[in-house]
Amino acid sequence: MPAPGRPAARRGPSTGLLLCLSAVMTFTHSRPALAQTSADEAAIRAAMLLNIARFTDWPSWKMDAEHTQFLICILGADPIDRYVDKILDHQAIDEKPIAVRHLKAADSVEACHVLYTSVANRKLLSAAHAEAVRGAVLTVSELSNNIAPDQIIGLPIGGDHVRIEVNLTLAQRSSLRISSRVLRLASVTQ
Amino acid sequence: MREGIAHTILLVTLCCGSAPAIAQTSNTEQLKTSSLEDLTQMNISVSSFARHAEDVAKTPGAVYVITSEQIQRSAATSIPDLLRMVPGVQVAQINASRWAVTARGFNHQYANKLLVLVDGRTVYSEVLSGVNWEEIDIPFSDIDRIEVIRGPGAAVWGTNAVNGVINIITKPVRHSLATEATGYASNLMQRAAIHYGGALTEHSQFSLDLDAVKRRALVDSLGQQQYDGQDSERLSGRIDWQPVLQDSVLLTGQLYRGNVHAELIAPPAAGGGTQDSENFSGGNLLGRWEHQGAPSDTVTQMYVSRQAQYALHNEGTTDTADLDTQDHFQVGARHDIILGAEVRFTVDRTAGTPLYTLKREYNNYLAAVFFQDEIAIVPGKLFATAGVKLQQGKLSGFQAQPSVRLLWSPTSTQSLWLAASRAAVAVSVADIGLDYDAIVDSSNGLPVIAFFTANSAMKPEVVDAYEAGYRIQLPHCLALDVASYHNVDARIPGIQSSAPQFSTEYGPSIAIPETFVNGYRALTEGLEASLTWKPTRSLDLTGSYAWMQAHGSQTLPGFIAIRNSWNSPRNSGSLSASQSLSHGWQVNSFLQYVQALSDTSPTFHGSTPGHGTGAYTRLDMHVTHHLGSHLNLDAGGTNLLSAHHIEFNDDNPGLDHGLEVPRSLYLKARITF
Repeated sequence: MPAPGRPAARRGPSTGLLLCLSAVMTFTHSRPALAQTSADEAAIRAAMLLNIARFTDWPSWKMDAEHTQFLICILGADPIDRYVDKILDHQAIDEKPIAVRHLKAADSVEACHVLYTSVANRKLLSAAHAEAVRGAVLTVSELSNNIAPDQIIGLPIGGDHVRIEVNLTLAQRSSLRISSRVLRLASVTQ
Repeated sequence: MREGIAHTILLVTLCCGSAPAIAQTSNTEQLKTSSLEDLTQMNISVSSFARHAEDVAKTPGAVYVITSEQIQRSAATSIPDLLRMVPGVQVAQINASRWAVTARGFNHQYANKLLVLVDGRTVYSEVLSGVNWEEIDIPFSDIDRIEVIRGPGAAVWGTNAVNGVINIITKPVRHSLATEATGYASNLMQRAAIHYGGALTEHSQFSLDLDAVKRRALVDSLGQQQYDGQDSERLSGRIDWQPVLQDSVLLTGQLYRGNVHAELIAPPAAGGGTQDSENFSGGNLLGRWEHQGAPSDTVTQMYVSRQAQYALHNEGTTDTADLDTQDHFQVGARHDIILGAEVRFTVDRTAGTPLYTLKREYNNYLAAVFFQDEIAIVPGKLFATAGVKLQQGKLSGFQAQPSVRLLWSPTSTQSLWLAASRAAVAVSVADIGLDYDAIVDSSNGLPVIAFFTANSAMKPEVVDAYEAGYRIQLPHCLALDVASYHNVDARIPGIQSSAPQFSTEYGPSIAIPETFVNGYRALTEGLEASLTWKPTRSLDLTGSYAWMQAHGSQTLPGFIAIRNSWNSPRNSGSLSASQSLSHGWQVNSFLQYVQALSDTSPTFHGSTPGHGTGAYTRLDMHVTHHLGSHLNLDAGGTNLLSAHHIEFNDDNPGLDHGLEVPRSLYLKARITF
């Protein structure tokens, strides 16, 4: 794993790491108790949020000593709330403990590392767009990027799965670097 | 190069690894440690067979789920067409707007052993004891998935869920938040639809849909243009509301109307054959409240609906009101229990010129309770499920429909299940109320008229089903699902004809008195299999196969013709391939083989080759392309292998006869913004 603050390597992870991972995968899946095939979509999104945050690099000024916590902001009431405690609490991103904050309409988004917007507040996200780009905020919602062009990550439903969409241009404008580990699984919408 | 191979190995391992056969609906602890790859492969949990969220792999029954991905990639133009891919479900297109659909035998335009639901609302007509598929012509973009259970689901779903249950589930608004316009055109059908989905308040979303369809009439085997075309319009709306995290409320309503051209033969009293059109219209409103809590989850649903049909100067309406509730909870560590109750009232009315009389007004009620316990005998490995539905109603009489099932999973990749159940088919209003005279033949220059009189002593048909199935997850991303059954079917309705007599009621003629009787019994067996294979991330292959046969015998003396013939192919199968290509292209092909329909009457042996409907093979292809982020273009064709073929021919009078189903080529465009 790249050290915190360092840009991700240009090539993907090493072959050695991949073979190790595949061995781990095979071993893990031969144990029946951990196997899983389905979950509530909001739970899947909460877990995806955690993983995507792990594979995203924020600019060094956003991850310096002044920012003691990794701030995940939730704008509006959303089913993801149900899983925030169970999935996001007690986790850390780049050694900063995760703190979850619920925002209201007029609140500033600049301090957030991740901003998850509920469906009903799409317009508020558009209004806060410039602020989010300035503050290197990773903006996420369950809408598709096609209908929410002001967000970086979309987690819409595709068939029976939660898909990942990445607006790479907006990520770059927001000084965020998203690992190829995410991009490989996502559809990149420019 | 080595890196490339390593990447491939990783992908293949992950692909096979992330869909094991036996699984619990995952808890959040497990999700925290799931990789991003696993999360993208994870299915969204759904409510299923036993009316609560459960993985198909853990279900002791023959279940097949048609996903919205399969629906989007399909060349199908109607819900019956979508059902073709399910092993054990027989779909035969009769004409432009009519289909004969059933599961596990006895196919008929109004097959009475299949329960069809839309969002839990019954669309089975108790007047005709069948389904009018044109009344549920829901646009595909609204369908989230279609759950097909073959075999009796009566313990949980009630009467008429004898050979299967089809539950069509529409998308929650959250899954279709956008404004969309769709257009479809082919040589057989034109369709246009508009959809809007958006947030209503902080906690609710709503959607509105408008849809119009026009199907062109087909030709018969002699090349003559027929009059079976259809046009219909539909307006639907939906509100999803989540007031608090544990509660969600759904409110949905539809209004539809349509016109089906048909060749209807007026009885002698009206002077003979005529072409006419049938108007149908209807509406419904459904509300559902789901509460997730400890210790129990409850779901309460209520709906009202009206179905109206107007044909040959007769109008028939059916008004339904239904209230249904269920509670799901655990007792101890080993018992998973569902308790439910339902009450339904229907009023069936016929008005107009009395050319044939059904009961003028018929009020029916249905009251039912059901109970199901899933017992973990050996947690994670051996489960027994026992359930029963007790039902009392005017048309169903008193029915106790029990079911006992066993599921054993010796390893995490295999499971074996066994089941024994009983289910009943309620008599229809037509069974007990139809009074109809029809010219059926001519003899020595005199018309031969059948005088149908209803039999108010008709009893419900009963099926005892014994089933077994097996599922296995094999290496290289292969999965096999096999189900088999043996059904004992008693009190099957037939039409009893008495000796012909001379009559002058409609001028000089020969009269044959006829009535309905429970005159047959049958033993049916079958095997259904489906194989899925995902060799690469972008290629999905599925195959399905079904074998079935029947032996029937008459149980009463006299000349009795079985009312609903076997009409099923001995062997049928399908292959489907779906490939995602670069630059947003996707290609899907569907190949289906249906053997000649084997027949019946009077004493039938279902393995003899049939009459009237030969074997056919059909190939459908569908190509999709995303053009930019807002436009989706589709093109394709159905029945590409032959210019035309007939899929269904039933001798029964009063029903549509089978027309040639032609090749079609189509274009479809969808704009999203």
